[in-house]
Amino acid sequence: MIAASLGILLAAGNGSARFVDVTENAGVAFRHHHGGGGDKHLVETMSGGGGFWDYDGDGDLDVYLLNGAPLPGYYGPRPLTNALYRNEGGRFTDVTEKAGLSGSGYSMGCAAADYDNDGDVDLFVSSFGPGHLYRNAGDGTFTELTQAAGVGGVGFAASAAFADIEGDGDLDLYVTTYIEYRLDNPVYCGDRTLGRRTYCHPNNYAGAPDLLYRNEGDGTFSDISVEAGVSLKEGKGLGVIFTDIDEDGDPDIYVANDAVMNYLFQNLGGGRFEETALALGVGFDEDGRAEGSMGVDASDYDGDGKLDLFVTNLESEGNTLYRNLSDGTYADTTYAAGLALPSLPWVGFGTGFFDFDNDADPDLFVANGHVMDHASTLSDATRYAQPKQIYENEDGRYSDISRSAGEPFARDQVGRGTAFGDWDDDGDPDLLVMNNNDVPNLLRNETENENHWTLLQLVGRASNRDGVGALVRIDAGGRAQFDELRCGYSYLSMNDLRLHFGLGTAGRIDRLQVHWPSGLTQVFSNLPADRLIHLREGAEPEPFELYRAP
Amino acid sequence: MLLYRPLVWIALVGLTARQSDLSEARRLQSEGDYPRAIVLLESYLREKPGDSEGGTLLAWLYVQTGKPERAAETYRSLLSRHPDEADLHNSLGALLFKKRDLAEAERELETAVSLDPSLVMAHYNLGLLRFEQGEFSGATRSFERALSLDPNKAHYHFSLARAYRASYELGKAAASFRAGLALSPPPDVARPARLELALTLKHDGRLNDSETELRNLLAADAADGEALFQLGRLYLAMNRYPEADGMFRRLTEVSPAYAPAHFMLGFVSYREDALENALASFRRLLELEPDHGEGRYYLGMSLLKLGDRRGAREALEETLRIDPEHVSANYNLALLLAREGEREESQKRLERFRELGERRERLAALEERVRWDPGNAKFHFDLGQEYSRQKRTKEALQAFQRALEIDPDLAAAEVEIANLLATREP
Repeated sequence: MIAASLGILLAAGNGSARFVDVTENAGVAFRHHHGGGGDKHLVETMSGGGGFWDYDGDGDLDVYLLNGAPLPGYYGPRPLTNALYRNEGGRFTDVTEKAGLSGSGYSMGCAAADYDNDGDVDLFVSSFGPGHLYRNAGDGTFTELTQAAGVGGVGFAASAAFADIEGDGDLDLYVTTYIEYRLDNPVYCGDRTLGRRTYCHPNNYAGAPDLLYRNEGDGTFSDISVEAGVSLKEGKGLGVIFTDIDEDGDPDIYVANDAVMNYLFQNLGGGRFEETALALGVGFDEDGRAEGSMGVDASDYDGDGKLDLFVTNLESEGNTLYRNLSDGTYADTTYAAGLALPSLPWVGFGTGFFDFDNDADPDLFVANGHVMDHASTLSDATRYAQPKQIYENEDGRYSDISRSAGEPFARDQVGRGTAFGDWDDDGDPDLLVMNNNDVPNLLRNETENENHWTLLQLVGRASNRDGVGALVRIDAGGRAQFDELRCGYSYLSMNDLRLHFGLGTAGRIDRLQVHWPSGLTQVFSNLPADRLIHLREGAEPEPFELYRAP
Repeated sequence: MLLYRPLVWIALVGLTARQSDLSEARRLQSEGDYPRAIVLLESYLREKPGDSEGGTLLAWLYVQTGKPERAAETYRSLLSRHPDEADLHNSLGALLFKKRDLAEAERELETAVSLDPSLVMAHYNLGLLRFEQGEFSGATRSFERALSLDPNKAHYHFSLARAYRASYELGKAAASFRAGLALSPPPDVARPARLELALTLKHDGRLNDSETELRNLLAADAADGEALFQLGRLYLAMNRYPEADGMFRRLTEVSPAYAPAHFMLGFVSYREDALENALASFRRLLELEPDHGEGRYYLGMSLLKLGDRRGAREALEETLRIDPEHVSANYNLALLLAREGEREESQKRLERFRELGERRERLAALEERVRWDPGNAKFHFDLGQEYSRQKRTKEALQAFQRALEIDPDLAAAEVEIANLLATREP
């Protein structure tokens, strides 16, 4: 609302978006297989992760896609492997084998960050089973160091995220764990007389505590979940973000739980956290009901300088937007923001704020898809495959503009993970949607306007090398924007580690302030727009022209 | 509607010298002079105690004049002389059913159908009785038998539809409602049946078909309040808020004193973030029903969103006066108090919310599980147990019954039903 209060005319989006599915043409020939063989294991319908990362450090975003694994009775293609696609000027080449990232087991989600601060991006893959940590050798190959690093916790894991919880300069790892689930003892749900087996509701299973690994700085991690206070057995964690909710300079943790209260673990310092979601108003919907939460992200959607939270949920619940009231508490403002009614029919998964039209406010994307593959037999108001949704931010109120956003939004699929990043380096954020038991959608943002933008690549020195957790404020054209660099949001997905801001009509950045996790604050003035800017901790910014894919 | 045949009785005895008394009694009965008809018939039957026609007419008159015990005595007296008369067993069974003596009624009706398997009324009455007992499969069988003997009775189809619906065989229920409606029953019968059809379709997830039926009702009577209300609710379920708004708004015009219409209109406005409209509707509702807890809660929530914390607090506190266990009011009042700096009171409210909320969440989780997997007997059983714990006996019985319908060998459900029936207040 800052813009309104200042009475400043900004270049608004024209209310239209245009995305084109280029998956096949760009060379991404991957298909997710859930590996089901008829027993309807819940993991089948919850999977579908992956995302963007620059694995080879060449400055553009590559794609990593995760696969399931054969479950009892599965008769589909084998082997089921993950896939790494190298971005070669907008065309993608499968380099999985060469990189050593075909993976093993049943992959769920992933997070990529330079956990060892050696200048290249490493990879953690969460699984239904043990997690996997791959160290980047810096030459395009990876070595699995899971056991040595001590992050091979076993469970029905989902999303993962990195942040420096203690401010010691290295990245710690949080992994959500969904439920207690055993393949050898599946609950039968459905109608035995009709022989119609269905996926069971998560309420059939006990929750499972999440995992928090502290980076010891020597290549190993310690599981500190219990002593940190995040090991709550009732949780059914699916999505997670690190975000500095209380603005005290360290990252807090927000966990989207399925069918039970969401958690907010406030960082008390010293590796200790306190769960405060209920008191702060971010555990439930506005009526105090737990929701079936899946994906999560944070952003300052209303321009008041405070980070708000957004969670995707089950159908009939509607997704939930928690507005930061600036007094340490939150209010569910989903209806007022126009985000409730359009989301009620759908089951939301992958999500994120992104300024697709560079008009200087965070818009929203949600990938939808029901959990029950027989959903359409329960009601003609719902179905398994569902449409994607894109919402345009209009001064803090959102409009669903999906119908005019291009063919990908007219097609129903079983959407799960969604990654955000400018893979074609043209200054606007693109999308990668992972669909369950289906091909992904690599979407190119072809929204046309004259708005300006900036892309910030942070490089920490005293802070972690990726600059994860840095708070950035930009003033351009009379408008202030605020965000933080998060490694891990959405659902089962990893995203561009460069921070993107749309600048509207502003052709320059008047002021840019970076508050690094180390505590260092840097302020820069009069920076050019439409550039990738390298921000090295303690150094002057370096603007670069982006190479634009043809 | 239980079926008797008192007025079309086929005389079992020949004409006698007192036949004129019987004719006179009929005349008096037709004129509504029941007391004199009774006196005449009592006299007649003292001389001809085995006369079924006179006895049946007398029993009918006893029922009409509020003397069911004497009616039953009369039937029993007749049956002592005509034990193989299926019609008499049916009439006595129907009477006992009406008196809620279900066990003896069942015996009489079963005797009737065993003596005369073609006695369609007895099959129908037995269906009604079994439905009442919660034996929906048995009710279904009886109604199907009645329909096999007389397929042209619309209300037989409707009763069968209700039995199917109670058994969660919603597709068959809808088909039966449609079969009955195809017989073109009179409007006063057809309208409620079509409404039930619409609701059945809705529960079966066939929302578009449900909409069609409700639209049909409104085509016949644009001011049909029940159809307007249900169509509004259907549009809500379909997330078609503007249309829901239209239906409830129209209903408030048709029935301005009908409180639920104002609540629903307010609720739609609230969700559409038209908070001033919502306030107006909730205030009108509370004029009509000052102790409408849910209306008071949403009034508070509307005020809260409009920034009127004081008004919101008053409304939420009033909600909790009306319903101290209102989970959402406890939750929002706790958050509001925290924002007002009243941390101690907020903490108390949060504790209360936790306690109440856990109960609500537990039930919601079990209901959701059943919604996802309606064919699972164990899930219905678990839900029944939770309802039972929360003293929601009727819903518990339905859930246990449903569990038994799916799995007739689920003895634990039988036990739970027996326990609930034994302890249920009349």
